[in-house]
Amino acid sequence: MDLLTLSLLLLVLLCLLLGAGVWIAMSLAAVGYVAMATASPTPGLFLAGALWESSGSWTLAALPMFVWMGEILFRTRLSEELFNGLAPWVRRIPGRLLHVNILACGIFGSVSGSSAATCATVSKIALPELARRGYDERTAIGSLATAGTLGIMIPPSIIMVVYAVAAEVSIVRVFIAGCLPGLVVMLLFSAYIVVWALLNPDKQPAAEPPLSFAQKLRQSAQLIPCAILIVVVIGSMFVGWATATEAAAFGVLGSLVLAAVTGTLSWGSFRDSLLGATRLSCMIMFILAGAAFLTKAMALTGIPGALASGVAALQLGPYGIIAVLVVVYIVLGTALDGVSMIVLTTSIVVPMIQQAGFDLVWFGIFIVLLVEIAEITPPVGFNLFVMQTMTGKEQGEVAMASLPFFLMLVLTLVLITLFPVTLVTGLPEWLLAR
Amino acid sequence: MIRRVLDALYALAAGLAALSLLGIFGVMIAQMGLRELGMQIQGTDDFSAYLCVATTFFALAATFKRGELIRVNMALEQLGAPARRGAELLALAIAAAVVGYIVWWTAQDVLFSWEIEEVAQGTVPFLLWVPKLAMPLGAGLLLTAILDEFVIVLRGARPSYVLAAEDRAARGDFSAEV
Repeated sequence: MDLLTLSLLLLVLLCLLLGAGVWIAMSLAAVGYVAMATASPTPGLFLAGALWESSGSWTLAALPMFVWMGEILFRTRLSEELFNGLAPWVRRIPGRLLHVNILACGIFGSVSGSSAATCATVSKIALPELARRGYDERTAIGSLATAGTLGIMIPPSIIMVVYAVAAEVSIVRVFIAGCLPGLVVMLLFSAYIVVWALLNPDKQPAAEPPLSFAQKLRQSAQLIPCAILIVVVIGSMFVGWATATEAAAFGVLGSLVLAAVTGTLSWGSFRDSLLGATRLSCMIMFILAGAAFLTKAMALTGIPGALASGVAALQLGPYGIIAVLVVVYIVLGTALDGVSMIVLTTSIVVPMIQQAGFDLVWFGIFIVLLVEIAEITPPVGFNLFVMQTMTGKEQGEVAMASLPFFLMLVLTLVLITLFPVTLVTGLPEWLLAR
Repeated sequence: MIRRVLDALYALAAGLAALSLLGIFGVMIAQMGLRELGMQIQGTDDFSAYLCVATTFFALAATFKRGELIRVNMALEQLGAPARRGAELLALAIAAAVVGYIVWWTAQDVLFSWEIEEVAQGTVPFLLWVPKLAMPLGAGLLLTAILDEFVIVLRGARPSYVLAAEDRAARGDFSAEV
């Protein structure tokens, strides 16, 4: 059987298994078995090794730690503090409190690595507050659904850890590379809100009574613990004091202290956060394990290499390849979650990307942006689902509300492709070279 | 009776997994603290990797039961109740075959490590069959949970993992997603 037939066969098998509702990690392992069987008489001999190496690595230990940190903070009053602390400062900008959505998601994103948690946490408090003050519901929903995805772009990010482990690049490097694109996304979102507010003056609520500077400062004082946590966790990694795993463990400690200080730490919330983090980590690491077996099998069949040279022979040029990948990932994103999208494709796409001359850290950011886009594209966009449940709206309505922000994400994708060094790879190079 | 024993087993394993996760945290903090004091513990890197394996495998059954292992529901949700039941049974049967295969080969691997007394390559020569044992045990319990669900669906009930996921969505609990 030639490689092309084999690849198509494996692809069809994978689609069938996934479509039949077989759990993703198991589908990946099953396809891995079939691929391995064409190259080795005893596929099972490679299985235990692949599972052992992929689920047990010191680098990977960062993942459960970041997950737990998010779970602890999810159960604190951080979202209220963010809303109240940020609200006084955006009153003069057109669109006013709608900018709090973007800022709060950005800040929560820098302590949480999950897009669904960021979206749900910030929306929980922002949606009722904005509705009470008479803000346009559609823009509020769209901005929250989309800004929630900042959780995986602004470090720490669970998706970035998964990518870094799968593509074998430095976690810290990918984290740092995500900072500027994350800021660009926030700026573009806020810019859209400003333009929208100027064009629709009739949809703006009445102005609120002014606050003195001292009052503003007093209201924002509640943000200090969170700010310290961000500086310690992200700062310690960026200046090279701590590895990602150590910073993550430190983040857990900081979050526990923060929860204790604000009075939200109880035995119940501690146990729930620990068990929740265990299950979420288990789900992700089991997918990584299943994918590791598939990756090993793929390497033995030689498909990724052949595909890479095949694509190179098409002479699409770097931008052509990127354009094709964007389409592929958007299609994948309609059905798959971010973790699966990444582990499923890295073994095949990484050789292609390297051959086309792209940096793997850059590609990590590119893929994270595409996962962000996938989170808000129907029918399986998880942030749409979160907003659906929180507002009781139809998915189509939430998706339409998110559309302008979706376009801003696409614009960011174009920007990082045109300016890869300035926006993505330059900052980690500079910080880590010192 | 069997129901209670099984549920207790899943919960016990999940508890072990949670303790392993707590262990990773403890090891990391201890390591950082001792480093500040100028001391070092040997083998922490390997040890936290083993705890990672234990977290993953011991939590499998409970995570599966609660519907938190991800799968694609899109096609299944289009089916009517009788067809859906058949589809669930098929998915469970395939899952049982895959996980059974994993149990068999990870058990072989543990036996092999035990026979040759394989040790870790790092600074501390841990006996590898001990941490490796988490793989067949955890996967074996997952296999039990899959067969358990198979019987539940065969008897005409809806699978627990579907019920649990629906319940979470209704409560607006999104903690099971990235």
